[in-house]
Amino acid sequence: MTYTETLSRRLTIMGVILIGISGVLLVRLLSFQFRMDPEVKAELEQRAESYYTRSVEVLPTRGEIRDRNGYLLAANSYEYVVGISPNQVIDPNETATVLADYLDLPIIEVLTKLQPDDDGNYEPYEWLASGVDFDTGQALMDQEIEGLVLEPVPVRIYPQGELMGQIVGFFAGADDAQDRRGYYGVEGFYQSLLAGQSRRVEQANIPVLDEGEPVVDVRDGVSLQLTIDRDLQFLAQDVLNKAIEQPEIFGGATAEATGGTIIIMNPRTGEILAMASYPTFDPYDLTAENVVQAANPAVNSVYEPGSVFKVITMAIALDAGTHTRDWTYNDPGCDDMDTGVPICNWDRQPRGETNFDMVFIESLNAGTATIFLEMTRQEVYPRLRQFGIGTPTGVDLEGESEGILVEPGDTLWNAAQFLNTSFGQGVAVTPLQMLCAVNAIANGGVIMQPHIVQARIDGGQVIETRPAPSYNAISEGAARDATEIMVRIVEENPDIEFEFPGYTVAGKTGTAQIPIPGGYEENTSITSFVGFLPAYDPIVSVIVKIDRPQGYWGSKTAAPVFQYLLEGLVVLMEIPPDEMRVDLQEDGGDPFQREYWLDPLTNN
Amino acid sequence: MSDLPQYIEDDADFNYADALARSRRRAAPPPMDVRRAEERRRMFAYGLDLYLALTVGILCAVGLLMVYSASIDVSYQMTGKADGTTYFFTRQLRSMGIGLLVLIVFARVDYHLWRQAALPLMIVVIVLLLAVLRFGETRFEAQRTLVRGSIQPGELAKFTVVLYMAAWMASHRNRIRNITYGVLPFSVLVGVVAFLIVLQPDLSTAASILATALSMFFIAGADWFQLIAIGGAMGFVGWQLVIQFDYARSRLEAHASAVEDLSQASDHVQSAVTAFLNGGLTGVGLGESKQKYGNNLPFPHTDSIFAIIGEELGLLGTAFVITLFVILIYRGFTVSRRAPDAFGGLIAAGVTCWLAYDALLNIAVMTALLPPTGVPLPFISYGGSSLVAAMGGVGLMLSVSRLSGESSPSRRSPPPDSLPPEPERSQFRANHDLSRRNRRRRVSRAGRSRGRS
Repeated sequence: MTYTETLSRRLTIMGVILIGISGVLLVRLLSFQFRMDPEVKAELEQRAESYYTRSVEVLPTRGEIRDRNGYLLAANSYEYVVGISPNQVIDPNETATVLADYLDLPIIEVLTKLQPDDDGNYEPYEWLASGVDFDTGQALMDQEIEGLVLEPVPVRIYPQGELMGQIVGFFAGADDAQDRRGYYGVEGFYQSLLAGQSRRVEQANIPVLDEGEPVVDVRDGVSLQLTIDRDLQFLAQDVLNKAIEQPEIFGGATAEATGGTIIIMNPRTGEILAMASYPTFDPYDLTAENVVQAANPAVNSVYEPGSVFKVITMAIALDAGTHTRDWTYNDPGCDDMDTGVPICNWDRQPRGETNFDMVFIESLNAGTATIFLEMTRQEVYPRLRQFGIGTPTGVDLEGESEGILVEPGDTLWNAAQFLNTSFGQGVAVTPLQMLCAVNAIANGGVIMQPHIVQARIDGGQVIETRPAPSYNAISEGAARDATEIMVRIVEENPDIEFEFPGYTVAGKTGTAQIPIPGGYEENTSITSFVGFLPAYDPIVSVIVKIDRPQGYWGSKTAAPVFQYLLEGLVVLMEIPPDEMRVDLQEDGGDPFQREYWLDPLTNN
Repeated sequence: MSDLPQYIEDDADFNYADALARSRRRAAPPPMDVRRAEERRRMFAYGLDLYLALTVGILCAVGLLMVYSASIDVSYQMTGKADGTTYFFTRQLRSMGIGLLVLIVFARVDYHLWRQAALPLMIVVIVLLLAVLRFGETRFEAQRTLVRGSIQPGELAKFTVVLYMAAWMASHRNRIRNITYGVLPFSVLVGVVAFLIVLQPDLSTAASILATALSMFFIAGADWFQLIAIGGAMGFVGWQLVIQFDYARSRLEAHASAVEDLSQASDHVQSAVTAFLNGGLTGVGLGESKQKYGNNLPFPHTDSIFAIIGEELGLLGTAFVITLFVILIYRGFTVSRRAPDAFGGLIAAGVTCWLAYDALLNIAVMTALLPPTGVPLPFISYGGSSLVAAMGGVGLMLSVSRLSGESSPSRRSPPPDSLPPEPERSQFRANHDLSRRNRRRRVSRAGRSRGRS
């Protein structure tokens, strides 16, 4: 056999082998199409499907919060997480200079991140900064830097900042956007409404299946319009800050005060117009020591109201019919009234024969205790409950306290405690509860449900909050009488430093000792003033509460602050003096049917 | 109604019989002058094996098309730009330009020239392989490339081993059955190259080289005993290597269970089979592949391009590609048979084996018959080095076919029964070899090395 023959033969063998292998491969390919195990096939297809699409949570837009005039209190914006892909950077030096300038980072740090590692490989992504604000992010975007990655992160902004901090609350939580929620105030109370509802959608991972942005009917959050008036809120906060930080305006009586609260309400509707407290809460500062301030003291902190509570004693006595304004008693100055604990007037002086009105004008503890004693506890406690004492008001703010009302049957209850309740000791209320109780007197005996959300705006649909009564506290006649007595208190008590010519104001001061275990703190008090005006056609009710002022007495501290507040209030709310108001009413006009009270959304 | 165009219902005027008859009566082309025909053939084809050239041309065209389609997403990932989807395509186009140039030059140059170049080339390749081990870039857990990933000496090694083997075996063909002359030197040099590649580590390229060398040895006339000895030794060394290298062993073990039950296969193989399933008989259409996106199927434009062909063009597309490779094998061996001398024949056979092994290995991996290894599909996979090397190899084959065409007046005539023995063919070489330095063989001689030892 020649060499060529060998070669030729072996080539044939080799060719047969190679072509045979090709045939095997072809058979294998055919088997995929025709002889595939259906189970394996299904498994492979399912596995591939999981690569092609992914389930994405589409987050809804959180509702905005506005004040009654439409000013933004809480809105949505973005901040950016800034990163860079070093392998796409063209000129590291220039890029680092620009980035360092915008992000306020040291150039050397940025430049280091742009360098390759020891093997000469570039990282695909390097983190640069988080929490970069919207404007800086936009400016960076306009620079069109190669390789820059800007990842938007939704954030909540609070244009009014500290002014509305305790009303609005704050929005925070996990790094993951869908685990965030609102806390405190309106953000907390209306969390589910504001948040809306996210949807899971299947989104294509690969372009051939991509059909553009998926159409998802995500339920966006509902926007809220509050009853709060930004201007009134500013006035209340300003007055409160001045009382505590610049006490010289009030003759120094409010010096050394540690805190305070002012609430302004419309007693006819239950709308909360302003709700200021000191110290305030900054919604952007979420350090632990600051977040403590987020709880709104106006609804969250309880205190013993002191003499202010006597207006409730007065109202329930008149309503029960056990007492009339003709009632008289012999004032002893100090007496234990068979309870073993002496009950004394503020100056411990006996007044002798005293009538019903004078008990409240002079704020006589012995007088109110006598009234309670005569009413008996069976009459008193149900009527206190009718005033909402010891029950949450149900205001739409997160973290409301219910107050403390000790009733017969409780371990703390005793006869002395019962009589103390008549002048506001041994009972604890929130400032809002106290103001709501006074609203009953202002509003003809009916307590309107206090609320802070005026309207819910769900897309184009506006759902207004209808004013609704929450308690029928007393009869209209009793309310009328109580109002008259409250006007006399303001006008006739010489100790109350309050003068507001032209307007009839109903009010009551209070000086409450601060309870500590086993007694009361010495030489310090919580002073307060509740009132409303115009007294016989009230449109606004106010509580001013100041903690631990140097002046000690409510008549010397809270009353002048209230007067200072009213000077601004009547201007802002355009409340005419009594004479002008009566003239207007005689001409057939309604002094309060003005644009201010119109619905700002629909203007009617 | 009368305004509407009226359809011609009856075109009885048209004479079908005439039309058919006329076409049959078309004038026969004038008989071409035999000399002119020969001249024309020399001008255009120049004695090239046109079937081979055409097959490679179609493979390259399919390759370009599929590289463009398969690399869209990886290009995008690479550049990060929406208009950067042609990143790999343009590079492949450039490589193909270079490859075509190399092919034409190699086809035009007398292949005997390579006889002298074989040994220096071998040394260059060994130096390059050493350089890769020392300076190479690490990609996918292996050092395989030089100069920022643009040169893979492993691909050049395939080309050089074929050349060197052909030259060496052609000059030793009478003594090839001698153990000393036949087996040892061959084993040592090829073994060194394969060992250096294994060290990268790149077992699949090494296996491809060894298989090619062994096949050439077989074709060159090795007796069965030699083949069994070498095959046994290779098998033993290969087995040892698989045991030594964890990555190879784990792949093999995972694979053993996967051939039958695909749900046990690696992610890569499962994705490839999914692509074939997606494709069905006729495919989802060009550019419509789903597996090429987002690294569902790794390396869609290189190792896995056959699976993308299966997805986009279906069973028909894959069968077409396999058919093209079968034609390539057939024509390659035909060229080898008709080669004017043993060197040319062995070159053609070697290049054919190399390309066939790469193609079959790649397809076998994609169809889950062999464990995943990184072998490119010749002419089709993206990759400059492998494309240029393969086209260079085809250039050599065409050169062989061209010279066989020149030496035999008719392509149909059988090759001469026996070629003149090597020393007597110096006249033939002098006619064709442009080199002035062909006094001595440039290939190493086993005899000398033995004398030194």
